Amino acid sequence: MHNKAASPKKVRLSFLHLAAFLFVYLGNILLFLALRGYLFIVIGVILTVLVPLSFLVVWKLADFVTGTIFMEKDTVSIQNNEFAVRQKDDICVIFSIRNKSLLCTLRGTWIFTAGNAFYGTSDRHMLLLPVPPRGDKQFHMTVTVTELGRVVFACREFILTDLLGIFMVHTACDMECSLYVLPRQDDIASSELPDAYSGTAELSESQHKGSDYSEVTDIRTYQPGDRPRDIHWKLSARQPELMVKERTALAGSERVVLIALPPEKTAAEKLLAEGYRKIHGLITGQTFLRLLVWDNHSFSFASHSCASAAELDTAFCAIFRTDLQAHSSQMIQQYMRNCYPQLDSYLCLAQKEDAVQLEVCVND
Amino acid sequence: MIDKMRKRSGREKTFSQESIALSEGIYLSGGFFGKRETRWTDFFVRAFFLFAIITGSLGGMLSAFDIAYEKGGFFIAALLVSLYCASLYLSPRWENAGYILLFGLVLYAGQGLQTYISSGFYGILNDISAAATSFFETSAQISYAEQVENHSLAISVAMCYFALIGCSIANGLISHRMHCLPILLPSSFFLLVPVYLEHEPSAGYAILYTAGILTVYVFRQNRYQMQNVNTKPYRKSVYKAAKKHRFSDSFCGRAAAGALLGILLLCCVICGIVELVLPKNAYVTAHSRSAFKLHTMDTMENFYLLGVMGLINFYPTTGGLVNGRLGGVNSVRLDYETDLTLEFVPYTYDRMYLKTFVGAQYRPYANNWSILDDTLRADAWNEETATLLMEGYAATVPDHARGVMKIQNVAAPAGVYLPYYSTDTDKILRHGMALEYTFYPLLTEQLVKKPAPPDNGIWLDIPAENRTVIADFCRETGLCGSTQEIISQLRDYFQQNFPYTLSPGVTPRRKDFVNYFLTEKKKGYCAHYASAAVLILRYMGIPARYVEGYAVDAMEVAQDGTLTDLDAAQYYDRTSIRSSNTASEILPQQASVISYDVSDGNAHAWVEVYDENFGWRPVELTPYQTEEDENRGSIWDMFLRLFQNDDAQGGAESETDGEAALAGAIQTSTFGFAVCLVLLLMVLPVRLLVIKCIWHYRYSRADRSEKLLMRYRRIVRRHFSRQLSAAKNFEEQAALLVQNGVLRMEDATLQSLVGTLNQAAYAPGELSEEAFAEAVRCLCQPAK
Repeated sequence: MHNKAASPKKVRLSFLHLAAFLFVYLGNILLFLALRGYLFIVIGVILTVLVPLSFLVVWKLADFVTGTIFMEKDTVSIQNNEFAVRQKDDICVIFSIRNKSLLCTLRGTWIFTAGNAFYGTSDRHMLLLPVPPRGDKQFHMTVTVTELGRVVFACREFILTDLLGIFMVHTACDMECSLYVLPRQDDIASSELPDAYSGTAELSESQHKGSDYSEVTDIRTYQPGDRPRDIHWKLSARQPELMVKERTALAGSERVVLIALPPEKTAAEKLLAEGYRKIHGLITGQTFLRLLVWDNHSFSFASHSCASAAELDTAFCAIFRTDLQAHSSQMIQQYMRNCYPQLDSYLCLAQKEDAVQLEVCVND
Repeated sequence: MIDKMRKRSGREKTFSQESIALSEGIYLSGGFFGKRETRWTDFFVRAFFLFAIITGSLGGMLSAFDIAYEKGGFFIAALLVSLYCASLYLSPRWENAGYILLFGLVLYAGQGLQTYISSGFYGILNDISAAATSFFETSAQISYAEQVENHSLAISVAMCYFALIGCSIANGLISHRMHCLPILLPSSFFLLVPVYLEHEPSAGYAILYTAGILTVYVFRQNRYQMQNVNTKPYRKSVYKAAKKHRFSDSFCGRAAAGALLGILLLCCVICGIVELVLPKNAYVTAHSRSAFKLHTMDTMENFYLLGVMGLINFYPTTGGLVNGRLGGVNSVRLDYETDLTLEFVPYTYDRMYLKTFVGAQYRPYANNWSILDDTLRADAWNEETATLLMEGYAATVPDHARGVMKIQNVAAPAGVYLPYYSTDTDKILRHGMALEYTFYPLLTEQLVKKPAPPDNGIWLDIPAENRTVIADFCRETGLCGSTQEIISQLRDYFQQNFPYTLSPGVTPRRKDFVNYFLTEKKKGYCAHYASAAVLILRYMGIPARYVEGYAVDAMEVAQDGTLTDLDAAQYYDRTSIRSSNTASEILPQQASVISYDVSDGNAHAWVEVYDENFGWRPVELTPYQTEEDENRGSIWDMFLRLFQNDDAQGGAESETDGEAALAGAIQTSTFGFAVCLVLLLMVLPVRLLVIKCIWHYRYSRADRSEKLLMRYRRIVRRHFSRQLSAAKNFEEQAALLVQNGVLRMEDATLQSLVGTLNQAAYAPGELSEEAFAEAVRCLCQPAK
């Protein structure tokens, strides 16, 4: 969110402004040659001195200027200084520039990008702000975010222009500010859920034995002492040696929800928005939900437990932390069987025939 | 805060394409703006711009010419006006009302303080004129009567008034757009004039002016002109820029003040250092004139004496003689400087001519009279008539006399200036010389013998290009009879139908001077009448020719001539004036030698016709100058008259008392103010008419999409601009229009209209004809 120490400065010339200044300068010289007026001598000296002086001011000023991008605290706080808003909410992005010296310039240019890291979109913009002497200057930008994901405002370069507009001092910087955009918490009709909820409940109840609520967290080779029921028979049949499922015990009743994200942005947006509502409807306060999302980077399912709406938001934020392409895979149900062989069934949030459905899937 | 957010979150929003997209799914919604800060700093910065530029330029000029005025009063007035003008941009509503008030103040002050303003203006001009006269080393000096005795007070009032006007104009250029060049050019004029005349403005004014202009330049280069967030142009421009991925909020009073102070400080320091290294007084006395100045001094002198027209019509200031070149003079400007000085004994009350140029052949479209060759020279200068008169004088024939005219060339072109009739055709009078011409006036009814008729047909020559026009003219006027009758008829016709003017306008290119004068312009000065008359008389079979020189009226000699102590016998012999009684009334004693200064006001063109009894005689066919024509001065004079009060024309004595002048001026200004008020009220309908015309012009050039949007915007502005300003998109605006009964349509039609409007505004390409027609039909639904 803050800029780091700015380092090497580069100077570029604006030839247009240089030409304009030369026009004025030569005009003064011509007037002097024509009229020999003392006034033009004074003006000529002023113009001559002004150029290097103006450059020196802006060159030195670059060392004193710091910038920050932040968002107005009119947002939902998640954790660890991370913030989130609901889809279609207004947010106020504030660009702040601070100058510790008495020098000033009328034009400082921020080259900033605005985009959604989840979808991998980004656009470049320029923001022109004056730099006041010994003080700060802020620019407020009220924006509405209509897509889910992680909105990022970042600035990597800052340009200070001298008073005559001729010299532009480029300074590298690293300013960034992000927040998560979550789906809206609209109410969901209870009629949309009972089948799925009751179906998975019956299946789980009949198939979970001895209240052994656990989940598979890893698969490894067989070692002496392992329980036979943990042997992954299907996998072992394709392997030269026995493979067993390593389990982690779960406390209480838990429903597993697999989010099968499609790679297309529009479809993913729809699935996440509607899925959020459906999952939110499943949270009762007594039943725990575990959201599973595939992650191509770690080649495993990211697991997020949700016992409340706040935890659901946190889980979605965690999903948005990685880009969409890392979450989608055609083989997701196969991976599910491999990674969670002990699960006889689970809820799968997927898009089928242009509709988002939360349905019970048998893990066989 | 969270509640607020939730409240906002619950609001249903429609995101149309009207929103500016920062990226996919991120739209600007509530606008963008800088951190709100007090605008007083910026207000004072802008006021300083106006104050510095106006005070620097006007005060600089006055200081350069050492013109005395009340500095404190002027500074306070300029400061107040600057503050007022800068305050106009604090809010858009106040801007409109404030400008109307300012305009009213300008008019009221102009009327109420007319005497002071005009007197002060004249006072400044007189001081500048004195400096210019000294610089150009000319004897002529333009001088204007000042009605107010208190010179410095009048100048101060005038300067305050000019500061008021200057600030009003400069404010529009600076506050909205930071236009540097349009403000630099007129303001620098006030400093270039004294610098050209080698008078330097004082350091303080130079610093003020330089800092003001330089700061405007700097602000312009840094796009600071986009500051005014309240104005519509600003909003339009920033949103336009935002669509191009550029945001700007250049408003920052402290940064502006910092830049201004920095530049001001720099100017002060540099000025001080330069003064130390190269003192101004030492430089001014030591430096030489540039080649440019030496080359342009004549032109500038011309400009000084004749005004702007002196630059563009290139009419010679020394004389007004053009040697047969016609057509290029837009407006004759006279400097009334002495060209020749005559010493002679008045011998007639008729107009006296000094001939210097004879045009034989007219060149159509080239618009000039050819210069004579040697074969025609003797004939052209009337040597035969002069010889016959000389013979009569020598033979002591009655009514024959000999005169001597001493002519000194003060500023006239070199040439022969021959009185009628003289044989001294070889006496070329050069600049600075004085020559004596012996002449034999035509006083007799009969010469000693008849002169030989002209044997050269050139005196009857009419160019083919003019023949048709001349023939038509003669037929139309019905010229007939003897030579004298024809001349009389032609003179009367010109007098009645062809008014005399010194500003006939330039003859257009590819037009013939005479044809244009006779058929289109039908007004002109002496050269027009003489040229046309020569061709007309030739067409009627009368030998005629075009002549230029100086004409001196007996009345002018009586009024402006000065008696000398010279021996009259040396200048005139055998005095024999035919109408001596009349002449004695207007002329001094005949035996006195009079000195008379001939100026370019006496320059003239006339016609010579051949009389079988006397040879070539001058004929006057130029109509008399009417009073209206006489009152037409130069454009400069016309401009000056704007500041003249009719009551004040009595001169200084009648208006020397300042309080009386002020009271009288205020009294007379009431009517003027009422007239101005009426004019002001007329501005509104005229403005509306102009706006409507511009709208239709733009509409005719727009494509279908833009046409639809123009129609829509017009409806929006006409009905609810205030309420609709809160509506963010077409959908909300159209809903409001329907809700208020401006548009009447079903929901489906409304949606279709909104869609079409969105398409017209944001989609690439042009609307289809069907969509356009349908949308226009919807918009044209009659309102309740």
